Amino acid sequence: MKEERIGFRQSLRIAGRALAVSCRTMGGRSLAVSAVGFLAAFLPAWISTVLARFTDQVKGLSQGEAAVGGTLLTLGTLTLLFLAQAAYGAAQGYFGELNTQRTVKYIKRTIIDCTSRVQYRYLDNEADFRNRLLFAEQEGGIRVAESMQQVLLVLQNLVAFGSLVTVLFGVSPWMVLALLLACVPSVVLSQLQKDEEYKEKTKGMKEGAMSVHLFYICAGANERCRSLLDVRFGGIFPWVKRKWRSVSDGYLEKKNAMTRRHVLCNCLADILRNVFYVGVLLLAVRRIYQDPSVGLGVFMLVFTLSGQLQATTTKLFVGAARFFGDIRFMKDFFALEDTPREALEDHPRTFDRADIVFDHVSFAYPGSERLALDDLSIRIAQGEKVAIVGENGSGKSTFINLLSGIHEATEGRITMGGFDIRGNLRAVRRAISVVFQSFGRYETTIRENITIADGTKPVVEERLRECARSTGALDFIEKQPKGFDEEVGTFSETGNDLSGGQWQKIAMTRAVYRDGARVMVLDEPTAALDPLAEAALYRDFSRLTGDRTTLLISHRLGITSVVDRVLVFDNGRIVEDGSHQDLMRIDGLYAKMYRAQAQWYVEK
Amino acid sequence: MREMSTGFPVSLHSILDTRTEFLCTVHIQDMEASQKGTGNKIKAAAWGIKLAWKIDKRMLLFWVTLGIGLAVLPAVALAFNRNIIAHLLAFLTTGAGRFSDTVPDLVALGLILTVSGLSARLSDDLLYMMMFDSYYLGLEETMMDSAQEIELNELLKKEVGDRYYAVISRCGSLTDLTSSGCALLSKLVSIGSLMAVALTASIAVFFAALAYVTLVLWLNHALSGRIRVVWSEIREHLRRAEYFEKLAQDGDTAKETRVFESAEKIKEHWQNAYRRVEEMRLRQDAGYARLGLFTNAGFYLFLAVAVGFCVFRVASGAMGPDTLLVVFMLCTGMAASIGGIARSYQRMDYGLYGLDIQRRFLDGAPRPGAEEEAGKAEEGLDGENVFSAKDLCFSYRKGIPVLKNLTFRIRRGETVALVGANGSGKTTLIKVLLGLFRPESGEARFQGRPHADYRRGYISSRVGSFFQDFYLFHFTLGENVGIGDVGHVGDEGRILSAMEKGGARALVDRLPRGLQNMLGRQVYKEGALLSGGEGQRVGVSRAHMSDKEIMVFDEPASMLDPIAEMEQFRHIRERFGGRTVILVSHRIAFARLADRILVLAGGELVEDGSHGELMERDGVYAKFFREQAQWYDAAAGGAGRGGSV
Repeated sequence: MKEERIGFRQSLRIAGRALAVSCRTMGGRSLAVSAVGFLAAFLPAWISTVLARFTDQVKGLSQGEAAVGGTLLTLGTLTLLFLAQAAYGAAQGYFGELNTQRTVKYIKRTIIDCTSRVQYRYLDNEADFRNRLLFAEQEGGIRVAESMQQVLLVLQNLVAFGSLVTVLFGVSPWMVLALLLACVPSVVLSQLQKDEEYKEKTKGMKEGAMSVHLFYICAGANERCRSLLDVRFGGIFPWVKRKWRSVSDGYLEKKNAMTRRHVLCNCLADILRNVFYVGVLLLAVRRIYQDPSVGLGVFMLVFTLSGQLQATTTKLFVGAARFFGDIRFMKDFFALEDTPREALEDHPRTFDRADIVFDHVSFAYPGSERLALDDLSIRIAQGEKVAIVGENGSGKSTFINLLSGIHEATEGRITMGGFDIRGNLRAVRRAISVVFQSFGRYETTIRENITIADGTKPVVEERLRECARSTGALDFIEKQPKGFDEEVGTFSETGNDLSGGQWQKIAMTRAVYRDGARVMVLDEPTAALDPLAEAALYRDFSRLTGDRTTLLISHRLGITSVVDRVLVFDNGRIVEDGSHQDLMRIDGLYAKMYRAQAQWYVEK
Repeated sequence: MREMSTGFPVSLHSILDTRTEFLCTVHIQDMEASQKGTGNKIKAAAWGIKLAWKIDKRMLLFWVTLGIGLAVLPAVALAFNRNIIAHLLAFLTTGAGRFSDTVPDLVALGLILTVSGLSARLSDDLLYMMMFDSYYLGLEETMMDSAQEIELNELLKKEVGDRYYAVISRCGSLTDLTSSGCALLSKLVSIGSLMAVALTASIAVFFAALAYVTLVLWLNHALSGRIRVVWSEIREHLRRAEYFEKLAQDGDTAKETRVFESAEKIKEHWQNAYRRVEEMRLRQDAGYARLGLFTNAGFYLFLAVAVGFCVFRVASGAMGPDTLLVVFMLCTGMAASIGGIARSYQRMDYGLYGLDIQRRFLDGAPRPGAEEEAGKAEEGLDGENVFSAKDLCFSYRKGIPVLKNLTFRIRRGETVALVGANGSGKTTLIKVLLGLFRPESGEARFQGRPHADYRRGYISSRVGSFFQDFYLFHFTLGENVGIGDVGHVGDEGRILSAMEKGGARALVDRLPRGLQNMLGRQVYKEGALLSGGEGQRVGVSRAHMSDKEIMVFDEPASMLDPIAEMEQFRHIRERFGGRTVILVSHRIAFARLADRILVLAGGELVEDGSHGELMERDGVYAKFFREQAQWYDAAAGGAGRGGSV
């Protein structure tokens, strides 16, 4: 959200794009109502003229010069016009709301599309993506989707403005000039205030959000009261509340200072406008005194019309200024849509042998200088069972991220089955079956929690049951009230959130379900499992993984007894590589780790 | 219900039980039934106004006065307008009077219109904003304070949790009430003052206007219930929709979306949830629009009738034309206010609806009175038996017991390991022992007294803990550790030392801003996302910071590599050896650090003894031990590699 000057041509392009989007979201009926609005724009002027005539007729009636029938007819016309105005107002209000709903939906849909297809590094906040996302969602999106509405409103106001000026012109051109001049300060002010608002919104947004966030922490309502336990038991409520108070007060302070200033300025501008208004009224009355033939109606006309003219003028210029001021917000929104997406090929190849080769690969996370992977080279053949060990931050998870094409190596080349994964992203991903450490616990049925892993094939019940049986998940699934159709997760109907171990079995089932994969990656698959379940997994390990290459990240070194090869990561490099026996013989880092764990299991 | 041998009056216990009853049995249906009662609305209004008064008297008084004061202006303007028209007519008919006669009236009129215009600018948007500051935050504060009183295991139940979430999310309800109430009041006063003017013009018109306004108010009141969106339903859909929205954005689920290519499925789920939200909102909007239209259109018809009536009177000479014009302007003046009535009323009604739910939820959770609180204990009875349980039973949901008839003691200075399979109730037991959950039957005592007997905060001031499901706050790294001892949250020296013991020291160097680096990305997107193991280290550091006499560690090293794991337990042993410690871990082997081991199976305490004793017994514990040990080499000192590979 940097302050850049936007060129005129660029502004037009952005405006055009916004209008196209807005037209799409608005829908037919809405546009029709807006079209009617152009006719409705003539109503104020029309009403004023009829009112003037009515006034004259009433005066005539009292002097016996006019007829009751004619007067009533005029009254009838007036009422119809008022009704038309009311009807249009209601329709406009309703369709306005409808548009807003559609708009919000459109924005959310765009954001979901954007975030699910954009290159992952942006989700790590590269190029400040996440801030821009938040900002676009809250501000930019709405202005894009409502841009058409805004433009139509401005045009309608233009029509109304024209009609009002025409009528008043007939009374006195000087009045028109005076009234218009009086509107200038308001218009200028609103433009300046728009600018200030933009700056404030970008700065103040975080604090406002923090205030809400701190409130939710104290009240514990987010994430199902997860924070409440720590807040209560740690006795930190007073401290967090104080934080909340100071953040909220600070936020309001700034917001209010700006608002107060704006209100003050606007009030002064209003006073100026009203001074001119009174002046015009004085002129009109003086005219009547000077020239009685003008009639009383003129007074009513000027009285009602002047106010309306001023209101319409302000709306017109403010609306136009607002539209062009919004260009900046719109630009931010489109920049979001234009963020580079992942390059997925249309016809992914299939791998028979999915040998994995890392060739002098280096990688650093966005915003960090430290190399998470440092000139790493390794070759893993199809079918190998490999354990990956090392301390937190040594690069294990990064290795997996790069293999799945989530991140791109900054240096070096990664190939699978001989093909560079760049350009074969979809193929590589289809060849991999991965269970991440914080795998998703989807708020849907158990069946869907498993089948979500593989959308390429239709769901076959038997296959599903087989997979569940092989990982040991079938037992507890069948015990669920609705079996596979049971809705699980924290927000499920019955609040049925499975235990950590049960979720882990579901995740394993997911991995097995994706049976077209040639490589299986398991990141800490036994972290939540108790000794019995863990042992069961190890025992079934080769059966579950079949002939797939298996990469197993684990801190439980007992796992190394079921794999052929161990890779030891340290500071972004692979420092040891071999079988368990080889590495014990070397007596290096691995041996140290192994002994640290095994010592506890000496039965004394 | 077992008899409690606490010496405490049984009545207190039954009060606590009724509270539980209340929170459990008030169903959603009950909640909906309440909204139809006008009586409840009035109660809610009274509650809301009392609350607003308590939060900020001045704001309320100021705006009400201002609102009413400014509301009479249109009527005053009308009076001046009438004079001007009278002058003009006199001049036009009889040629009497001069221009300068009208000048003072015109100027006065202009002045009043200016003030009136300013008030229009101040009300509505500004009013809402100013009231928002005081009352929104004020209500949030009330919510926060009340929330601390509610039992935790109540909140974790889905029904109660959902209602609670609905209650918490509507903190705007008080602002809605006060700001819309003010607006409504001023509009009514404005109409009233105009009608007073009408009284001087024509009594018939006055009564007609009165009848009309009454009709409008009644119509709004009658239809509001039907139009309004049922908050509990829409909240659920909104939350679901938001959940699916966030799936594609964050962490590992975002990675899964890419690898599983499940983006479309997720979008579908989101659309399903959001469609419901949209439908409900649109239905509401349509209802409001219709109501607004009838209100407005109806009024213009009334205007036609009233002015038509006046036309006849003018024609017959019974009324002057200036009076008719005044009636006309009066009506158009009222039209503006009438149009706003529907909107203000509905908004106020929505606020009342929210307040009603909030009032009933909060009032239903009784707070211990000041004397009751003062009567509570400030120190333990029995220093030797820190934790004790007798026939302890507990379940999260009726009929599914998690802990069954546990009886044991933990003495001062003992290090006890709690061991068991997944779902055997280890974490639950800890939470009951710490007083976070209340036992269903049987008793659990802390230092000789039941937990409820202690003053609030006593137990947490004596016990330091690390839970498996600990929460990493969106604060800085330093704060996340420092809140272990909240009074010293700024003491960097102590924080760094605690981080050394907890194994998190390396993080300070790894993160760009060290101790000042934010954790998490909820608001500040530059925050760091820690891996499972890193988070665990920070959590344990927090426990080290608290440095209490009684410590509880629930899975402090499950996500750490072997060497760090060893270090973690070593530090715990070194630092807290000699103190009372409860250790929970899947890694059976660490039970060896403990003096005593309690083994849970199926919610029951099956074994209790030292490592040597239990291995000899060859029971559940021994089985667990061997299941894990079999995977380690005999050569490296393990039990031997077992199982088929």
